[in-house]
This record gives sequence, structure tokens and C-alpha cells, in this order.
Amino acid sequence: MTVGLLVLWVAAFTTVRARQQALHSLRTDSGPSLIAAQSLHADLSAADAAAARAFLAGGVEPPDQRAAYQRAIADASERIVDLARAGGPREPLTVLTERLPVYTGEVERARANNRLGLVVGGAYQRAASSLMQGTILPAADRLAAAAADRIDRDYQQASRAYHPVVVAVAGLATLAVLIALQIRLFRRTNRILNPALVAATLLATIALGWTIAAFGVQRARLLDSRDDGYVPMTMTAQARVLALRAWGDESLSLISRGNGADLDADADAVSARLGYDPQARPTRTGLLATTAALPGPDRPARDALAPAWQAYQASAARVRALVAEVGGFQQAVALAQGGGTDAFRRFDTASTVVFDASRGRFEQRLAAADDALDTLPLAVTAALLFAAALALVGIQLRINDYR
Amino acid sequence: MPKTPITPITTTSMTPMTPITPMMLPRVIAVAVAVLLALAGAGCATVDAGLPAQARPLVTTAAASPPAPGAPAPGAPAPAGGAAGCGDPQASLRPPPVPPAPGAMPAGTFLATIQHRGYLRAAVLADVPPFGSINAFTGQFEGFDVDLANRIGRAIFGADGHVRFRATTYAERIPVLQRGDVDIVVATMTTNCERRRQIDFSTVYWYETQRVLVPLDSPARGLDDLGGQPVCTAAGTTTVDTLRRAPSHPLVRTVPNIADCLVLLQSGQVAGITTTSAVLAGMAAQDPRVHLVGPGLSNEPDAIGVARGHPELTRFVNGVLADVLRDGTWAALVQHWLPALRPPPAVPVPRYTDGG
Repeated sequence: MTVGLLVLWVAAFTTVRARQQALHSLRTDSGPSLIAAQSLHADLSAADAAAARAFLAGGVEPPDQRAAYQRAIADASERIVDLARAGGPREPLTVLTERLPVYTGEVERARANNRLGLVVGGAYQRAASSLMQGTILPAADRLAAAAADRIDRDYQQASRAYHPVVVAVAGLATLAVLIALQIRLFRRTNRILNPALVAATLLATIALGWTIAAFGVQRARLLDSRDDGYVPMTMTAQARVLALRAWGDESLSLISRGNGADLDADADAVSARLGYDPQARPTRTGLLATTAALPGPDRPARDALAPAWQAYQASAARVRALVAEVGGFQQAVALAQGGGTDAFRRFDTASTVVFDASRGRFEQRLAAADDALDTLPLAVTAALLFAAALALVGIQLRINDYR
Repeated sequence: MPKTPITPITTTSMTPMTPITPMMLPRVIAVAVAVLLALAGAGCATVDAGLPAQARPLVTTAAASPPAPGAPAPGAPAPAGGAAGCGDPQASLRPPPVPPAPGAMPAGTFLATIQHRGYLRAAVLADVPPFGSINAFTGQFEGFDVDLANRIGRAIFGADGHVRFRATTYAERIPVLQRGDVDIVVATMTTNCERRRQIDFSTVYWYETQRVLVPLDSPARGLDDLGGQPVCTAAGTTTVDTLRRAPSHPLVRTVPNIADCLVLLQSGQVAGITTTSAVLAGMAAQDPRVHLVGPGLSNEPDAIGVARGHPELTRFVNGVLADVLRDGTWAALVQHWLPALRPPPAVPVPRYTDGG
């Protein structure tokens, strides 16, 4: 009988600890790693787009675009440090720390040559961009993928279906033993119940019920953190990365002066993924439509994304139309630098706001899930210890009666 | 402890209302376990949190991937065009005895189509000074080839500002014509029989000499000294063949734009660049730490590319080129764009065929 209580305690304690450890990893390791990796990708994309945009401005780049580039590189470097400290996979981190200085070096060479009016500057800008798109960003993707895998594993570990089953089976077996014991005593002792044993049964039942209920609450909050936090957060992060890429494509296409058909095609592919055809008409199937349709408390904020993107893409389409006109190139650059950049910044700001909101929701719901299990190990231990003591006392009293 | 009789009813839900016999117990437990398992199936299932499909990275198209260096580029000429036989590759259609007046192109011709459209579409190089490049300060195309295209536009429309330029890489020069993206290609394009099977060419407007550019501190004095070392040139040019046939067997490294070669040379990834001397002079003007060495390796005739099927446009362009050579414009362009070129370039003499 005491063995039964011990088994119940072991089952409850180990499963709760397993869930707590998984939640701890989600809150302090895999979750922050994914957020850092996605932010890193966005920062690097933003840096590349800003560098291309600043290059487009000609020999003397606008100070705010220069500042945007430097800020993005500084943010990206900080994320790399965070990811390295969080113990991210070594290979992509090595690629990042090795290639990012090469990238910035090439951007500076492009800038120096451009300032002198030397065309080799354009070649440096192209080299830098292809290094970013072909080597550095894929490494950031690998980091994000590794963190996402860990998140998936932690979520599963924090909600294993067998946890409540094990606890329930152990608990029911214990209760069955306790009840059977009492029935035997009840019959032998002329229908007198043993109060200590009844109390022990009660305590074991409470411990069992509490554990199962806490598992249910924790799982519900975990689901909330996924559906209201994790999913919209990753979707918005991806939307922002895609948008930055289309924006960078636009600049590079303008820099390549009519030789950017593949860049335009890439921007169209990005728009299609976001859910818009090349004329900025919604296709109702893309990432932005799905993101807007996600349920959850941050839904109103997400509604701002699609119109902001559409406004930017309409301006990008106008830029392309201007490029196709004779003498329209200067106007196209002016529009891209002016209204186009403003429209993009509005989308970028909106997506950052939504990302931060979802991220806050993700962290908050995970903390709440953690709270659901917070006092459980201690309470179950105390309750079951007490139950074991009561049971022993109850039997001892019964034995004493016969002395 | 007082032994107060207690009715056999407890507050736990697990305890049945009626006295249970030991034989009934397994059945009760079985039912309870079944209920809990059902609960587990409905409300306790493991939570998966894989990255949503749409949040995965976009695996992508051409823009992200830089062209593989050394890969054969489309439009790269096959070696030794002369043997194929197309007569004289430098000869083009004779211009009409009386050229159409500017702004009055003969109806029904491709020239009238261009005039009706309102602009001539010309592909030029974007980073090959002094032939075609973008001025970093004005954002405008400029260079020898650009001025030639502007002159042709002026001859069609009778006014400036009717030429729409698009940048092209070397390898794209023939494809843009074949796709009909542009009307003419003015991009230091060597005329040969291989290319004449794909597009038409005007008469020759420039004879180019291929030379080698190396850093000032390089001991190399020509392609012969660069055996086994990486030498850069642009993909899709006749230079690639000259380089492959070089007896010293340098390692050929090709890039989409010739300006990319200067990036490689400045970062020490190649030992030298080879292309035409005029283009190399344009590079030397951007970097005082490099210089041209060695003898001229080949003498290649450059002409304007015209899409197939528009002989009237080819004839018209040849008429303009004849004027340019005759009225001193050519000499003025050389003086403006290539003042320091040594030896001075040979003045081309147009050669005509009367067929076609």
C-alpha cells in the first residue's frame, strides 16, 4: 500500500518535472533562440536592402539610409552573440561570424568606389549582395530551423499524452489498493471504517485529481501560447523577411538598370508567397491572408499588415512601369527613394509591432503554463507523504486494537 | 481513537455507493481507466509545434544565387567562327543611297514601327567604361557605345532623348536581341560567323586589341607569364576562346560582368584580367595600382548587333555609321572617351555586301 503511494508519487513527480524542464527550455533556450534567429534573418535582410537602397542614391548616400544599414548590422551582430551564447549549432554560426565581416567589407568598398564615381563599386555591391543571399542568409535559416526543431520537441515533451495516463493508472491502482484494504477491514471489524485510512484515501485522490487537472490547465495554456503566440509570431517574422527581400530585389533591379529580370521575377515570387500577384492584387491564399485569418487576441493588429503591403507593392509596380518608360528612370528612382521607401517602412513598422505583440503573447502564455505546474511537485509530495503516514497510523491503530 | 460507526459512504467519487465485493473491483478499475484513457485521447494529446509551412524559408530563384564562375554562359561563342563560312564576317548590308529623313521613316518598315513607338531600344554595357557605364553622379548611361546609340536615335527621330537604354551583360547580348527586348545592341560586340547565324551585324565601328591587366607589382609581362595562374574575363565573349587557346594555359575564370574581374583582381583572387585594351584602360583609370602589359593578343572587329529580320534597320544603322566615320564624329568620340589610348586605334573602313 505504501508502495502504491510511492509509485503514484514517482509517476506524478517525474512527469511534472519532465514538463517543467521542457517549459523551462522553451522559455529560456529554444524559444529565445528562434526569436533571435528570425530577428537575425530580418536584420541581415534589412541591412542588405538598406545598403542596396543607399547605393542606388548615387555617390552620396542619404544619412538616414546609412544609419539604417549600420543599425541593422549592429542588431544582427548582437543576435549572433545571443545565439552563440544560447549554444546554437556551430556550423551556421561559424559561417555567420566568418562571412559577415567579408560582407560589410565589400559594402564599404562599394561605397568608397561609388563615391569616387567608379563603376567597380556596382560590382562590389553585387558581390556583397550575392554573398548575403547565397551564403549568409541560408546560414541564418539553418539556425532558425534548428531552433524550430527544438521548439517542436520541447512542446511535445511538455505535453506528452502518456504523462496523465501514467499518473492516472498509478493513482487508480493506489486508490484501488487503499479501498480494497478498507473493505477488508470494514468486514473484519464489524462495519467500522478506519478514519486514518479514509483520510489517506482522500489525500491520494486529491493529489491525483490535482495533478491531472494541472496537466490539463498547463496543456491548454501551452496550446494558447502556440496558437496565439508561436504561430502568428513565426508567420509575421517570415512575412517581414519576405517583404525585405522583395524590397532589396527592387533596389538591386534598379541598380542593374534593365538587366534585372531575374530580380523582378524573384520579387514576384516573394509577392506570390505573401499572397499578391505581380499587379498587387490579392490572391487570398498567401501568407498575409493566412496570418490575418489566424484567431487570437492580436488579430486586429494583424489586419494592418495586408493593406500596408499592398500599398508598398502598388508603389513598386509603379516604379517598374516608370523604368519601362523612356527617361522615366530618374522618376522611378525618385519614387522608389521617396514614396516607395515610406510605404515599405509603414509595412515594416506594422510587422514589427505585430511580431512583438505575438512574441509577448508567446512568452506570457508559456509563463502561465509554467505557473500551472509551479507548486505541484511540492504539494503532491506533501499530500502523499501525509497520506502514507496516515495509512501507516491507521493500520497500526487497527493492529493495536487486537493487542 | 473513538470507534464511531461510519456509514459506508465516503466523499470520494471513486468510492461506490454500494458495498463492493472484491470480485467487482477489477471491473470498476477497468471502467475508470477506460474513462481516463478516453479523456487523455481528447484533452491530453501531445502538442505539436512544428514551424508553420508558410513560415518556412522561401527556397528561391535566380536572384539569390550568383552565377557559378566558369560555367558556360548561354550565348558563348563556339571556337573558330571563320571556318563555318559566312563570307566576310566584317561586311554588312550597303546603306540606302538616300537615307530616310529624320522623323520621316518609310511606312511599313521596322523603322516606322520604332518611330511610332516613340523610342529606340538599345542594350548597352553598364559597367564597362569608356564604352558603356552609368555615371554614378547623374545616373545616366554614358560612353562611346552610348553616344553611338544616341546618334542613331537622333537619325531616326530628328531629336535627342528618344533612346531607351537597358543594361546588358556580355552573355545576354544575343538573347536580348533574339527575344525582341531591344532593337540594337551596342556593346563592344565582336562580329563573327558563329554570331551571324543568330543575329545581324552592322559594319565594323571599332577594332579592339586584347591585352592583359595585372597589378603593378606583378612580375608578369604578358599572358605567357601567367601559365597555371587564374586569369579573369567575362563570360560570353570571344576573349574566353582566346584565353583557352593561349599556349601558356592559364586557368580561365569567367564572371558575368567584366567589372567583376576587377573585384577579383583587387582581392587577389586572380592574377590578371584579359579583355580589350580600351576596356582595360577604363579599369586602370579606376585603380592606379594596376597596369596593362604585353602585346596585343588578337584583333577583333566590333559591330552593332541588330535583330534578325530587319534588314532595313541594319542598312539604316550602316548609313549612320558611314556618316559618323566620314564627318569626324568618330574621331571626336575617340578623342573624348579614349584620349590616352596607345597605340591610337585603327580607323575602320566599312565593307559592304550587296546580297540579302
